[in-house]
Amino acid sequence: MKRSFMKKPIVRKPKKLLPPMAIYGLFALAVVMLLGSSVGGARAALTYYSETYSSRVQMYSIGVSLLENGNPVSWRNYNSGGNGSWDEETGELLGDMLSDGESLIPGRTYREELCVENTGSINQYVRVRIYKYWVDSVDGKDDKSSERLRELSPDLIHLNLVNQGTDWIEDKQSSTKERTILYYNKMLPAEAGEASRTPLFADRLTIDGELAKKVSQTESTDGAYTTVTTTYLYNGVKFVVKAEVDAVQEHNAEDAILSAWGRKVSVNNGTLRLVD
Amino acid sequence: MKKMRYAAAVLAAAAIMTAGLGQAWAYFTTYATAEGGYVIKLGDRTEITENFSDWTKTVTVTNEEGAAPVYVRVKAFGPSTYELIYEGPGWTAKEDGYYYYDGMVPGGGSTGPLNIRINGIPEDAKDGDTFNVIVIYESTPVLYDENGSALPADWTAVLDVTTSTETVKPPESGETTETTASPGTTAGSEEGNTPGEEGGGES
Repeated sequence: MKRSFMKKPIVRKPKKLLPPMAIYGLFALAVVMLLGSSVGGARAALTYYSETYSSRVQMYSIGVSLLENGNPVSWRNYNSGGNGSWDEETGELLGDMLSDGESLIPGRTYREELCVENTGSINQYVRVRIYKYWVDSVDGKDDKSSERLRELSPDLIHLNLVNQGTDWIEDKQSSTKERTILYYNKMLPAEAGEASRTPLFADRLTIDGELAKKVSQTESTDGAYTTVTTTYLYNGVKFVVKAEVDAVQEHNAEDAILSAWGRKVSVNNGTLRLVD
Repeated sequence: MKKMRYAAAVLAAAAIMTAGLGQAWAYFTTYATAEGGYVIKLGDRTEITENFSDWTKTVTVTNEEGAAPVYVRVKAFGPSTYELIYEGPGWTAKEDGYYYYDGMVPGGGSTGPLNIRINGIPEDAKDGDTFNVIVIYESTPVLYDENGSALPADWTAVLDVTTSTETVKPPESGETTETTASPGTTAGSEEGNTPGEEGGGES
């Protein structure tokens, strides 16, 4: 017996090229590659066309100078290069008061204009300590190691102080016959041209002619003759004027001054006052 | 035990944190110093020189080389019976009896001569009769005003003497005629002469 079978037509489903997950994966890869290609270009651009950029770092530095007759005589400024060094100079006061071969004349007034300049980059408060005294002089020569003669009066060295009360205030509690301490009662601004200089605190110097009357006497009698020898106490001694300028930062000034100088002050709106 | 460990840890942390406080309290400060001065030269030493001849004393006052300038005045004292006649260029008499040298005497300089003539010596003077003529001179340093100009001499100025000593030597034979004094002081020389003697010698 023969069986007849009816063949079913074969229907073939069309074949899919890739599974969906693979397509998504390839798409993502394409996007990544596309982005990657642009990054490479950007790198290339940076490599070829980048510019030189410069930067400046501002270092705060403090500095102060003592000016005599308009010229700096001593200073100490922190090096703004930030290497921790100081630019400093200690000059001689009164160095140009007399010309070569000229002798000082007691009683005569000499120009001696002194002030302070802020030569740093930050605002500051300043004070000046002035010393006047006599030292022994060997054969009339200058000798800084000479002994101080405390029995001779500093009052005969007249350094005429100016602008007292208006710009400079004296700390009378700490001042003596030999030492005068002056505080500048305003903030001294930095890099402000003329405004970075204080008004004068002294303008002239005189050695009192009265010192010619300070003597010791020796009287000797030799037969019919009497000789009175008078010796000047101030002959051959040297007078010294010394100025020490101190500066401290403006920021937190009250604490800074108390810490650095040991003096209690009040600072309001840039005005300094001594607190007793 | 556990608390102790915590405490130690906290203490260590506090120590580390406070290690920087010293720097935090530092402030920006700086300073500048200068000093100077000059030697005072007041020294002056004057000397009087007297020459006696023909009943006339010739007086000259010299200021030592390098000394400060001085003003000088001179006065002589003698017996009232013998008049003293002063004469000399650059010397001016004033009411107080002193003769003032005009101008100042600089270091190394001298006054002009001042002649003091003893007048009225009797012709019949006897050997052994004596009298004295004493010459006083004074000098005072030149003072200056604030412009450096010399001030007139201040003969009323009183010295501020801090110490004074005195020495006495016995008389010696022969006349020592040089007398020295410093400014503001008085030096005197006494001249003893016997009338009738010629010259009288140098004083």
